[in-house]
Amino acid sequence: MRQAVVYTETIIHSAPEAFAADAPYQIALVEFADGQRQLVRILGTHVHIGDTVLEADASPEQTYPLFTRKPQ
Amino acid sequence: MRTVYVAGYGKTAFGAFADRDLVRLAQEAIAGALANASLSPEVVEALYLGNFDGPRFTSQNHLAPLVAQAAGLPDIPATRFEAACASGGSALVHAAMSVASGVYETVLVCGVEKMTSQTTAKVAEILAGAGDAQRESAVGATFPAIFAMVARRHMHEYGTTREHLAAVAVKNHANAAKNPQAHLKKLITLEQALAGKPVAEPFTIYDCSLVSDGAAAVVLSSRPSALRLAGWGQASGPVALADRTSITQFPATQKAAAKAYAMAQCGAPDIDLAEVHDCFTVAELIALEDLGFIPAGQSGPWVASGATEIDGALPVNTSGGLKAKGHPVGATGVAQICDLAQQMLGHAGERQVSRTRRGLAQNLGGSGATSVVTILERD
Repeated sequence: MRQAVVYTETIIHSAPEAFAADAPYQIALVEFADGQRQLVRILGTHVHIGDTVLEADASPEQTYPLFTRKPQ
Repeated sequence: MRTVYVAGYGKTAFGAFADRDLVRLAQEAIAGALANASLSPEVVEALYLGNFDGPRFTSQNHLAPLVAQAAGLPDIPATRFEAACASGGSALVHAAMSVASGVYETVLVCGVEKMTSQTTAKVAEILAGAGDAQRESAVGATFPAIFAMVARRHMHEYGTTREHLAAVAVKNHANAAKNPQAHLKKLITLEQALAGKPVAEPFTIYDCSLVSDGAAAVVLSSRPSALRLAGWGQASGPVALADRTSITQFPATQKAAAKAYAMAQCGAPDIDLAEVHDCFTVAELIALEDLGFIPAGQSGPWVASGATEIDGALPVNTSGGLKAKGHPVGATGVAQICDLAQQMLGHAGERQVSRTRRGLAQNLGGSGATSVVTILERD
């Protein structure tokens, strides 16, 4: 299960047409241990800069990267 | 290289115009610029058209010859330039090079966008096309969301506050209120800006530029006149935010500025006024830092102190900026030149600033993947 740290984030209220039903939802730019960054969707509890997140669903059906806050 | 002069400028008001299509808006701006230059359409040797996404906003492609024919230009080369929100700036730079090189004596640059015939959600989707489709849009990122994440990081790294962001909006609304061609002529208070409807946190609607219709045009010529393009620069960088080392600065702006300053043989302290790309409040703050007007991280308190107001040390966005003047995407980079020209030729009415020898325009595409910096000078 991939783990990363939140580099920055935002909660989207005004969504594009394709995601309007999901709003509000959070996306975050997360950083992996090797320094690579990726834009991901956050599932569940809102996260802040510095929080650790875990990949929530790595199945092939998941069309975008989905992460959730790591329980402390 | 020959000196390039701004022989004339013209633009439509910015706003929501149900009665005018894209071609009509461009035609009006071009007619205005030619009249201002006292030139007839027959002398124009090429048209450089800045337009972000006419094909998706208006279901019409092949826009440059369409505009050229409607504007009564002879059967000249007419080409569309697309560089997201820097489409206008990119068209301008390429037009300037064609005159500087000696290929043409007189060319027209026009920027245009017709946006308000689409729903807000559709506009958000089209604008998201300026980001990375696979890695940003597909995750649900909107353009405000990309810049909201930039703002969060700027706040985290430098202690920039929501009040600092809001100060940009309050200033630009105050300037637009005195600009007859602005989309929104409405004063706002700091409290209103902070309490606005949330768009992408920490942004409210008052942190975001407007969805507008409009066009702007300038005539560039090798024939000497009062205003010259003393320097210009264009640079690019990664489209996706994930590929940047830092997201609180836009190296494309720094590189474009370095080229423009070198060409104009001046530096940031020599600039008297600026029109910068405030697509979002944080973008104006970062532009001030990238252009060298203030060290990194200090722009928030600087703007909040009033330094960039009309009577401040460096008036910024006296037009009202993209925030309140309006942001018809492809028109913006050309409109900034019109706004500087208006100030530098003393035609800015109650917004007129006193020192106007050198003006700088900065036009940003995407979240910094393209940046264009232009310096105008008069004697």
